[in-house]
Amino acid sequence: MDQMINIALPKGRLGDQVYDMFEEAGFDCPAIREKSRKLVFENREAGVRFFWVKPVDVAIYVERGAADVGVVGRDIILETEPDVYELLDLGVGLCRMAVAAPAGFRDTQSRTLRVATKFSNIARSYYASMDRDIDIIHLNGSIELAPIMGLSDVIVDIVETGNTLRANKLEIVEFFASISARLIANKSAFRFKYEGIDAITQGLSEIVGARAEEDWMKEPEGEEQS
Amino acid sequence: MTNPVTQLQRNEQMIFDLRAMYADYGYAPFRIRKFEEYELYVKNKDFIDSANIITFTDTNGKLMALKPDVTLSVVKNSRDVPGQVQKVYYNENIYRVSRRSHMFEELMQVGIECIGDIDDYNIHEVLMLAAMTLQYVSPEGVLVVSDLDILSRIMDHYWVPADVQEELIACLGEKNIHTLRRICRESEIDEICADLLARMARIYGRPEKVLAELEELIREAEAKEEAPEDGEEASPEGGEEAPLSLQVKEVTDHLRQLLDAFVDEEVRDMIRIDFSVVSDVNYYNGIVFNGFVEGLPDCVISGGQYDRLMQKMKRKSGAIGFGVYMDRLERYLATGSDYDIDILLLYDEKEDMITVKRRVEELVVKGNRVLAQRAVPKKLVYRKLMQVKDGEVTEIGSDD
Repeated sequence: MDQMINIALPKGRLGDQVYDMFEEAGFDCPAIREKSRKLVFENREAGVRFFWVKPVDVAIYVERGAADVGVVGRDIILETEPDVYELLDLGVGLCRMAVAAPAGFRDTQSRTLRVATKFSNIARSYYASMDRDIDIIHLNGSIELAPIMGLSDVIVDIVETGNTLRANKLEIVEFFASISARLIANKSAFRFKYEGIDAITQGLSEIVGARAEEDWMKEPEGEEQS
Repeated sequence: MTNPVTQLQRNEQMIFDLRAMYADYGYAPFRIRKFEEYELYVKNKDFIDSANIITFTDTNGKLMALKPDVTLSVVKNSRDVPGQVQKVYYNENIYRVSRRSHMFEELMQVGIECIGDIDDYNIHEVLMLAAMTLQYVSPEGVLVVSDLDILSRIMDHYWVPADVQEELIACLGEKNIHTLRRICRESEIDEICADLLARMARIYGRPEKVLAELEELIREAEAKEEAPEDGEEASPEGGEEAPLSLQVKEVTDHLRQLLDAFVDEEVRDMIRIDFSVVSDVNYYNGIVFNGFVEGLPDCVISGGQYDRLMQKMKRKSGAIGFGVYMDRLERYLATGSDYDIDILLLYDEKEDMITVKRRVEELVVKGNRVLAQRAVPKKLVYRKLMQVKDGEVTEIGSDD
């Protein structure tokens, strides 16, 4: 390939899952599997250069053009609203954005709701859509602790299995957004590296389609078993 | 003596050159003061985020704003005269909140506006000047064009409600096919329409390729409409309305005609069509475009027809224009000389002042930038180090 496509992958389990998909689509880079301290890996033949970044930084790398494409959770897209193309729902990293509160919590709407979250923008827009007055308490981690310690009334956070919530005696009040990993692209790079980016999108799209079909085929069996 | 023109930064030079280029095509300079009545932005608060404007109370008690935009001021100062078109160019500082830093910043914006009884020549001319502006920055740039009327004709044909149209256009702007399909499902939009829009979001390229692909997509959509599945009713229009292909053809033919008018091969080569180029449909209609330069992450030119803004401002005229984001070009156009100065000329206090002055002038006349000092300043990077001693100049060092 004439032009190298720079790909920002999120460090961690999601990144590993997503790299597998790139590999399956023919955009592999064997060096990435080797244990090393390297941050950048490239396969000139396949025309790809991968680099690992913190999940929350992927959208910044892509929006600012340091990466041509990247993989990022929809939670980050909703929170940071980057000016990028959202080319594909990769169907992995599935979870939901939810409001959770201590068991038995009742929102009487008689006072400002204190909301602890690391997704301030998402929480603000969600409650604004209901004209609800809130006091945002921005935290960077251990969100579940906030209502337990009386810091907030509710939390807004991503929920995968709900185990952490249950362990802390919190329950879901409402799910309001589905989250999954998205393939994003820089709007300018899309013009100048169109063939490469389109090939990656098509390749990954086929894998997503095939996996969805597999899941669909499996579904009736599961129902029968239950 | 150093040529003053070569001392201009590339972005300063560019502003001069663009002004000359726009003037060549009959555009007149538009100059206004830095302030505008705040009311103008409140009335058009969706066009400009009026909450993020620097305001102050003038001595007469009027609430004023530091201009966050030039277009509204140009529109406000123009007149509707049948058969006439007002053409202006501007280079003005505007004051906006940065989307990235969330802080106010002063930005230089250059652009043109063409307001009045707009015809195809005017639209093509604005497109051409946008392409030529982009070519000035980089001959490898691309001007990506779309026509919002194509999207609205398709969505109107399938009875997509106005609020859903806005949502779908936003999805197209992100090439976000999965959300587009979800919205169509939730809003019970005809699947043929959803499929057509999703496929349109994907196509990109030179005009002839994209328009041919679009025609093929429309033909496929029509074939599906004519052959509804068993048990399904025919599409809502039920054949009473003109076929989709005819409705869209009128707009695509117009777009093709506008783009075919590019006779300069090099400029023509910069044009692409992409239906993901969208703008707020409450203000914009028809032709919209963005200009990109390789190596810069954001578009550097943005423009389009804004007849709907004119209508909102109770105006009868049409309008089209574009702005060049000079701030985004700053890094691209930055020219750094390897040296702070050509010659650092050292002298000591015993040297006669007139002699030093004469030696400096002799070197300046030869085209050098000369700095006379008694000692070498810290961090100064010079090409040659010279010394005046007993009236004679000698070279005592260089960076070569």
